[in-house]
Amino acid sequence: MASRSALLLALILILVMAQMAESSSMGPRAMDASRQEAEAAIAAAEASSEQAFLQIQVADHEGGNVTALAARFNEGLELVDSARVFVYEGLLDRAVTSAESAQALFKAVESEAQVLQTQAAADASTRRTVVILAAPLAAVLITVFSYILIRLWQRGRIERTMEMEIEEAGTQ
Amino acid sequence: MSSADRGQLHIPHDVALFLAILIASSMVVASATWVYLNPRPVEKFFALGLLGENMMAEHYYPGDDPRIKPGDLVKWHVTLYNHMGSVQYVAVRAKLLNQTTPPPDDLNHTASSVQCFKEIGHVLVDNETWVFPFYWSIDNVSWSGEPARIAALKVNNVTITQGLNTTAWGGYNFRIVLELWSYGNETTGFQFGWRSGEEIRSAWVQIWFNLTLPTQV
Repeated sequence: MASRSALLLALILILVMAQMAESSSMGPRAMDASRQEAEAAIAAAEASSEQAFLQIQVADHEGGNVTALAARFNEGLELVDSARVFVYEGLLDRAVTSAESAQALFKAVESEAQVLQTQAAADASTRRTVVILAAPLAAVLITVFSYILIRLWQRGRIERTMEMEIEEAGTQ
Repeated sequence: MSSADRGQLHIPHDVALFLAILIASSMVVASATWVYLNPRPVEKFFALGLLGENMMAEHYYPGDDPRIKPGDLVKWHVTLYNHMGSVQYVAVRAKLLNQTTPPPDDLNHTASSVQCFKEIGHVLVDNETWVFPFYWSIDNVSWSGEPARIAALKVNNVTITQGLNTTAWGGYNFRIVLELWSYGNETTGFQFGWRSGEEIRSAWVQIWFNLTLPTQV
């Protein structure tokens, strides 16, 4: 009877120790997974930031006004920065949230930059076409205007000449 | 001459004059169009500056004393101007150096090999000036014997412990170096300095200080 109780006690003890060992090994693993998750979220946000910037660069090159996009991009960078601080402080959930918000912002900026690229390219093309078409017209208009002015000046000069009268020089 | 005579005055058209004006105006308009469509390339550069507490080149230390004690709040303002002709993604990297640590190389345009303790990224549109505060204080000091080490810095209210491996004998001649890095492309990532045509250029600033303990002052 005593040996059976001892056996039962030993079994319970083994079970409790196994449970404790499992929970102690799960604790850091769960923590590590969360930290890894936060760092992965930050890395993903950083990768998105590069893509977003490249699209902003193209939109800028096409002549689009990227000031608003740049401002939003910088907000995203601040979110990534705060995510890093949260990781340092051990606030991993907040770090993940910040990094994911940043990534969403970068993706929105990227798609808006792509729209701006198309728009800016079309605007630039229209502007170039207008300038190229307007140039010969402007040249002709300037020519006609200048020609008319010169003709008027010539006409006035001839009229003044014709209005001249020959007077006998007086004697003093 | 009567007014009727004047009204009948007929001057024959001068075709040669018309053609001469047309050629001259065409040349002027063509030149203006070409200049409009192909703007002159500007010199590309960044301007990095460091200002003191009142946004002027003075009062870099509390009480104008370069001996900084733990807890002293040092207020700097970093200014960065983009004259690259396009939008730029930049990073200002702050590093802690001592008197003997090699600073960035102006001739070869290489950054200091020391690890940075703070990196601040930003996107600037063309012709934009960005000013941001760089407020720091020494949070923790490790002073075992003569070489002093700053164990923790607080920059803009965030405590930093990494990238602070530099020591200084007696706490003298620490310096904070701010380097300007710019984003090249996907493959190169951030690079120290920037490209201006065929040339590589770089910009960095530094400020020296001495670390003191309250009892030493």
